[in-house]
Amino acid sequence: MNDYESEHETMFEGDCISEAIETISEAICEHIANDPPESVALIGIQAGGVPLAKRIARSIRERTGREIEVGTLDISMYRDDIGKRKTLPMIRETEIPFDINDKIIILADDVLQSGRSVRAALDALTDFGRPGQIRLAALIDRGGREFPIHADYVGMKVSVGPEWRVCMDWVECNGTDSVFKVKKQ
Amino acid sequence: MDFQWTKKDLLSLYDLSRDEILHILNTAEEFKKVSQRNVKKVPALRGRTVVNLFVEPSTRTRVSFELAEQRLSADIINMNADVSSFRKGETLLDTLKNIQALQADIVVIRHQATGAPNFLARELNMGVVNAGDGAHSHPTQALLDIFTMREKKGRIEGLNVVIVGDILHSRVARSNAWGLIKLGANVTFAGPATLVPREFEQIGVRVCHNLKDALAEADVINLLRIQLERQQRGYFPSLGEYSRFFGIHPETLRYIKKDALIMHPGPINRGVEIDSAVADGPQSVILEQVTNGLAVRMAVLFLVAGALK
Repeated sequence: MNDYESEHETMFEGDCISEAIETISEAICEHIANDPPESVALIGIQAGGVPLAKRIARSIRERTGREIEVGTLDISMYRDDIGKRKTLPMIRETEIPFDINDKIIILADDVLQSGRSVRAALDALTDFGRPGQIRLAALIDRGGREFPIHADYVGMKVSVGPEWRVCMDWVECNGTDSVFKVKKQ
Repeated sequence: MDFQWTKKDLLSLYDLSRDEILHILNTAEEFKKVSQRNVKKVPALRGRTVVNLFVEPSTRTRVSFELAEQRLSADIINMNADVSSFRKGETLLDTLKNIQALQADIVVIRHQATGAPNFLARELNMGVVNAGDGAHSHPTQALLDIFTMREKKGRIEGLNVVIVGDILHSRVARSNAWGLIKLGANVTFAGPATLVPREFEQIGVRVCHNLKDALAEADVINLLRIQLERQQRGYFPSLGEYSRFFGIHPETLRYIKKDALIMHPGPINRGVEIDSAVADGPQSVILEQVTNGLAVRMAVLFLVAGALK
């Protein structure tokens, strides 16, 4: 986080984030109560959606004893802004160790803003097969949509001006759970 | 922190840092998976145009690049040495400036003149990918060789890699050595003294003129194609003699490590630098090199495209 030189401000930390994950998990459990566990899978969008997907799976296991499979999806090859960005994002691992055909796939991402990442994720995912349904879980919905995309499960809704970027740190990656905003340069 | 790729050209492994080489290899790992899926194509270079300009003829490298471009959804223009502009006397630079004026994004070039890609990279805004220039450099071949070694052996650091054959005229040998040394491998060049001069020791490789000594500790044996016309120029007395002293035969396998990899950039001369029993045997990874070449070229084109302004 100290890599950012510009102004930044912590928005949420620790328990607040755990509670938001519980909110999502509870809603998912309700939704899939009548579906067999093997018909549902979570796929985290790299990088921030991966720890979210794993935490949701853990929470579902603790609530119901159901084991939900978890995959990861990198969307770098599907972005619409190659050459528009200053730097190319690093390609991370795509690992979907199960057949997605006819399953209920819950995509997980940490911060939902324009919807462009989700658009890319939908294209990427459908190249792997034909899921029965795709739903979207976002820990933070910060508004600012550019595409007609909405999340089915939202941890927290916040309203943040377009001059800010909303980012996340995860215990699994950075040693701490925190949501913060960085002033765009 | 994320590694940031910033080069609009891939010219030679000599120019790349250790981290840049590793970044290409890591990126290629994910592209390899694309070719293993049902849908073997991603939209990463959609709307981009890539020109394949093979002034020196090539089949396998051109096909590999072309397929890599197709799997990235790029639009492709293929040109070769017979294109009328060269016949009419247009310079290489003028030809490419014309292509650039048509808003093409990347040129993949093979040229017999050493340094041709470097010259173009300086003069053009397009990305330039070197697909082999003279006896100088062939970076994607070296990257796919190193990728294959790392995939099979789990590491590059400390590996003993022996490259056998016509080192003097080989861009593959030079490129491999530059990359492998940066990643911490021990590189040996082996072959007849006429084709493996001692001068190569200056780039940090061991030079060995006895095959048995060279191969004793080898983890990887990379064989180069012996070009038949070299014999006419007197570099060695006959193909038969070359094969006897420097070819890899079933008997050779008795004194090399059981898990040593046998590699070859192709096309292979069966019965000259390698016998069929070895080329098709369990230690050979020659066809896996071909598979990995596609992934490496997809990674290179993706990174270069991302660095274009």
